[in-house]
Amino acid sequence: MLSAIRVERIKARRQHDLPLASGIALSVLLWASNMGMRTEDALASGYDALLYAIPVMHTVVMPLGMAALASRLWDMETKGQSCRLLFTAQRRGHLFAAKALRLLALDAWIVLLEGAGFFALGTLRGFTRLPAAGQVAWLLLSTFAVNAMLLFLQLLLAVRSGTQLLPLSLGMAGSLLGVFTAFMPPALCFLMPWSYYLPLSNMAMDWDRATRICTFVPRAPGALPLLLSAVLGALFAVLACRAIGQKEV
Amino acid sequence: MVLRCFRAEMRKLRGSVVWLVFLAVPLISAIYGTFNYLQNQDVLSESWYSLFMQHTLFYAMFFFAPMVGVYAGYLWRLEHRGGNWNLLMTAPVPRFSVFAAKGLAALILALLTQLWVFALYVLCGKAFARLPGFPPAEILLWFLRGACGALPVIALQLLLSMVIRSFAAPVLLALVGGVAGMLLCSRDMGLIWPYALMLLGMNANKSENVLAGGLCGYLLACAGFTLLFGLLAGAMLRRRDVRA
Repeated sequence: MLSAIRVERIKARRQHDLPLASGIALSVLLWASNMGMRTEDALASGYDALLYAIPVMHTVVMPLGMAALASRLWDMETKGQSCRLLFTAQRRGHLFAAKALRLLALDAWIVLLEGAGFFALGTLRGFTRLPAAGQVAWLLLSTFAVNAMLLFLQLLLAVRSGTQLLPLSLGMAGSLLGVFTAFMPPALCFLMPWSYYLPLSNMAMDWDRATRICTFVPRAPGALPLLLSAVLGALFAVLACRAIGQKEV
Repeated sequence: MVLRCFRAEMRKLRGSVVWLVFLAVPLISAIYGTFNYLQNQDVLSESWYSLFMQHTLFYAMFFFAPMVGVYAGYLWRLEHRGGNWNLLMTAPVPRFSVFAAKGLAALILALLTQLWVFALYVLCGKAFARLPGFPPAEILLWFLRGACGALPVIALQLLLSMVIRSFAAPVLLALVGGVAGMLLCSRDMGLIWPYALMLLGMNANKSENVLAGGLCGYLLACAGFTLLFGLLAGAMLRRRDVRA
């Protein structure tokens, strides 16, 4: 198993996955940096606004980002036609585990970078009221869980299809569908795994149409969406592992 | 020579999954746009203009560039596999012809995408939103302007997919470029960023014409970026060699 992880690390050397993963996190932060907050009230609720907006931004950016990361990881085997060699030189389960670990490490990197960027952004913009630590931790945890689920879904598709085109196309469609569900009844979000960032959000926006003033209200998303993400993630991981196990060479 | 290469490129597209992206992304965008329009008719009161904004906002802002990225990546993908790059380098055709042919194929795909988006827009406007008459001619002009804005995106994505052997990385860069383009557009700096030109041309996030009086500058920016990326690709192809 350790040797499988070492081999994956060697393969990763010229893959430039870390800059790509950083780019995903930075594009969310770049987008978040554009939120116009100048008044005292807006600066006081700046972190709340970020807690509300970031899951929406994730719905657009992450499905395609995760599709790109996962499909690249399997594409190196497709392009190098290395499955025949790998399947005879190491256990298929170990190959999957090494790849899964790498994907989870990239996911953790994205979440950590976003977490650091979240506070850096607040400091730069001069937000005056710090958010509750639990709220930020929930945002990071839920982002990690949904990202991981999508990574395994995309890995499964990449292994099954043997091409990057299908996972990427689905990732793109998922991004759009995710945005779509943002304006639908919350229960519908559960039908679209790409939009799980939204039901997991711990901040709601209350927009007063008459005064055109919006306020942010903390909400308790409950454990169900997180549990569902974890269960679906585990299911996709098992299916991806089986797909690698059954792959013909 | 370009025409012969172009025919070969079009052959690659036959029966490809690329058509699935071509059909699905604008369709989802249209369903979402129509639904949102029907739900908020009290706020969205500008008939065909409001529907246009709902249909094309996310498409032009975030998804057009990755779509072109998929088209360009698919066209270059075969050249990066096995020994195909060496075949390309030793083929009895000018190397730039191959790039130009791929550009032409991607342009046709992008134009068809624009047409498909327009067809869905008219269909949804008549069948579901039950809007009177037909879309104003100005909106057709915006679609054409969007097609002009597609040129630099096509050239840049082809260049990226030529240089980067990975299929997914240029698509991801296109998404990041789209996000950056949206931010630059909001600061009236869209003309300096190739990914923002399509959004500017389509007028997707405003109901008033953002390019009023500035069409020349816009067309110049489109032509300039396209030329720049084309020349860059030509120079890089001239310097590239077989991979022994």
